[in-house]
Amino acid sequence: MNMVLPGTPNGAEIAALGVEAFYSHHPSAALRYPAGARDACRRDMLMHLIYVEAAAALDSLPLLIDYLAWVRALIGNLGLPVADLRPALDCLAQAVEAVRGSQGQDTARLLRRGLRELDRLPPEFASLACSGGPLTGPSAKFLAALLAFDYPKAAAILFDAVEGGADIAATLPDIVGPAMREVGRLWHRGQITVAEEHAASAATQVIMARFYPRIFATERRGPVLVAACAEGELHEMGLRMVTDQFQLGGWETHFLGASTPPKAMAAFAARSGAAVVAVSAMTVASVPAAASLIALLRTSPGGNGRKILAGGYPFSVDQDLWRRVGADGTAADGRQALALADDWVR
Amino acid sequence: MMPTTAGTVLHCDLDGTLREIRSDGLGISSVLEIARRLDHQVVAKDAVMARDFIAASKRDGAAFNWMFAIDLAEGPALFRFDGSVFDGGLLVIVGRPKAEAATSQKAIDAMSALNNGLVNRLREMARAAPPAGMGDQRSPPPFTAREHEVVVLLLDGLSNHLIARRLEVEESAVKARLRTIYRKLGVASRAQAVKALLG
Repeated sequence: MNMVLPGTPNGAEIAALGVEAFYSHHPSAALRYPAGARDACRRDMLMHLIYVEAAAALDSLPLLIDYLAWVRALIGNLGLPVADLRPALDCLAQAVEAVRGSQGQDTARLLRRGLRELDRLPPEFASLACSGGPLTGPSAKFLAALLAFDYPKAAAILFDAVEGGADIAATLPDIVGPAMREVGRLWHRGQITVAEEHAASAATQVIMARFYPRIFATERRGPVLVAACAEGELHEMGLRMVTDQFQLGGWETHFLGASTPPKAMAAFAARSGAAVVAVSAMTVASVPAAASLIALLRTSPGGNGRKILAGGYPFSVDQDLWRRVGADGTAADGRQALALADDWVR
Repeated sequence: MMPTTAGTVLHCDLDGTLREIRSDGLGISSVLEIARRLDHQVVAKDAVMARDFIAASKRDGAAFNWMFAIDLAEGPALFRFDGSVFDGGLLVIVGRPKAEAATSQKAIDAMSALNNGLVNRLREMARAAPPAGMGDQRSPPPFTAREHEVVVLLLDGLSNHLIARRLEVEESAVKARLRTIYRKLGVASRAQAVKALLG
């Protein structure tokens, strides 16, 4: 696999080249943007480049198409001209070819193929992340409290749900998970700001921390799980919830958090005698880093016989991805992950 | 004591509320809003009113013991505050974690990372506490499960009264647990305890 990590050399140069080409080939489009928009264009172009190169490194057309659909819908939601996306990304393809040579040609070919596929998708499709029905029940109430900044109420909804000894492992993810996905959708649709999005997720995590005394009161029977987010990956709530489900399932768990340095993860997994390690990537941009981490875990001390679970949003989009990054399996949620790992150590 | 900071700072308190604040050196001078539920308690350029603002926030159960602030004018400076009221000052810096904060987006990301760090810390503290009924099998256990409950709410900025209500115990029981927590941490006050817990 040909890994191009985010922040690879010349990224800014390629993005700038793409933007210049767009402005010179499409002067009428350029007129629609306010003065000073060029910096923002370069920033967006760099983001596209990072995602496109990651998808190319993983040879994943599904991940590229999902990203393109997500971006197209986001542009529409922001009230920007959606029709400019295609020519802008064509310019990016040319810039990648010009700077990266033969490797750039592969990337450009995948990008052009992705753009052709995007044209065939219904305009309302905005990635797997934005699909699904409206929130109902406690999830909807929990989210409403979060968005009203009524954190005591949000906490009460979670505590009420597990009142009377209900299974925390079965209850909390079902309320919190859908609410967090909806927060992402609301931001994507421009209905909440990024600050509100972060506030909602920060508050959720702090509220969930109040369950730790109960979660860690569960008897532990031995197998050790070490979980970490790939380097560069900052979204950690999903993996923490999965790790908590393992803890409730009787495992001894260690959660190393966001953007874990690979060597630290390998050393920790060896020291703690992990039976299973879980690696998470929530965006395609951090999947190459997850693949590198998995490769290191295979060859580092304790790697023999240790199982590796890969998970996160990209693994739902591209169902075969876990195999290509070298993992032993993936799971759509914590419950499935625990069942799979229990099978492994049985 | 807190060095004066002029310019715009972003604050994030423990329950995740983010606010952009114009600071004139008092620490807090006025609140631009994201925290809608707090915006009626706008602080004037007055230490007494600012103190009342913090006290009122605490009474309402709003977390004020923890705040993360990023000085957008200075760039990558990030401070961690204890919101305790001090003589002549309002906020005390208890830490200065390293973080990049050149833009507000980065600032928000940095605060999220700090918040996540807090949650992970609470997770480790819960692990270190012996499971209920298993006794002290690990040494030294930082906190029992009951003490841990108090620690979480303490870091959440709740008063003794509110902690007692939340845990459905007497306030005297909360005070007793706090005394044990202080002793284990080797500190003498709430502010010092928060500082010690933040590491």
